Amino acid sequence: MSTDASNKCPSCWLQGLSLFSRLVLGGVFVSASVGKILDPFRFLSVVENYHLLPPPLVPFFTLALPWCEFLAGVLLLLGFAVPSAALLLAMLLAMFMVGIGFNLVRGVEMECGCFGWWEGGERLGWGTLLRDLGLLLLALQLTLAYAEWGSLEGWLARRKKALRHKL
Amino acid sequence: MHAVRWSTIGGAIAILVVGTGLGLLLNSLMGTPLPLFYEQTKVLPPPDVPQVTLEEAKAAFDEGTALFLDARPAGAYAEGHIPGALSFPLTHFRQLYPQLKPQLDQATRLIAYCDSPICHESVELVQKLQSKGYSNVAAFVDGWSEWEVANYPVESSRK
Repeated sequence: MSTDASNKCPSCWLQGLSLFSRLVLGGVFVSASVGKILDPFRFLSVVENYHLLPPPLVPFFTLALPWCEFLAGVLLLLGFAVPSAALLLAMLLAMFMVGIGFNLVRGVEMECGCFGWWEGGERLGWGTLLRDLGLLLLALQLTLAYAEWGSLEGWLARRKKALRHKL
Repeated sequence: MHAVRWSTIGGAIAILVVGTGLGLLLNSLMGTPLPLFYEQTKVLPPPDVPQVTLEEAKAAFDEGTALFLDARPAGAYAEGHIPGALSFPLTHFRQLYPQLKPQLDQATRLIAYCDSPICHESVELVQKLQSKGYSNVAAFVDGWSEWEVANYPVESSRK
């Protein structure tokens, strides 16, 4: 019998990485959404400043984005529908990066608006773009190579299986 | 590593739909909902931002008692602006402020404007200048579009 740890748990590192990605991404997006949900008028002016959306779409985006971030973040923290939530966040992050990159290249100085009102007026910078790139990699890992561990979905599935076994 | 499944894409779309629905629903239940139609989001400057009307702006222009500051992007300024106005895009405030400071200091009154009553750059420019210590500054909220509609003098940097 082998005592090699990698044989005992061949995907342990992936499970650990998945848990890390879930908690970081979920925590970041839940905290990022709250300020925007609480102060939609301020967030509206930030969205306008990016000059990327056609004006009629700005209020809808302002109202929809924070709730999508919040829902996806909560799902990641709980470990429910993880690949779907991560895919949505990956698409949002890619969109943010286009918006940030576009304004950085134009040399525009503006508020990032990434974390709502408690970010203390963080300005757009290349650091913002790098941070989003890091988050995008975590989201892609969860979308393409997710290994369940410590999630509500996994716990419910195991419980259901155990109950079926008993019956 | 595996390919993205259709169920994953469907789940992402479902979160998007539910999130959008929640945002719109909860907004409609709020005491002061965000207007959904952009045309309604006319800028209402905070009380500490002095405003001038179209007529007051014209009077200041005729008397030559104010320096106008165009807070729109430089391209829009080049297309047309109030004669004598300085191009001062809000997005380049930190870069432009040191260059324009001597002219700002000399002016007895500063009036900032942007594109139309729904833009907010004029108000934000006033607030930024107030934070730099300027008290003789006001926002012309109706902005360039109303000035142009009124057939008041305009100047263009494009040949």
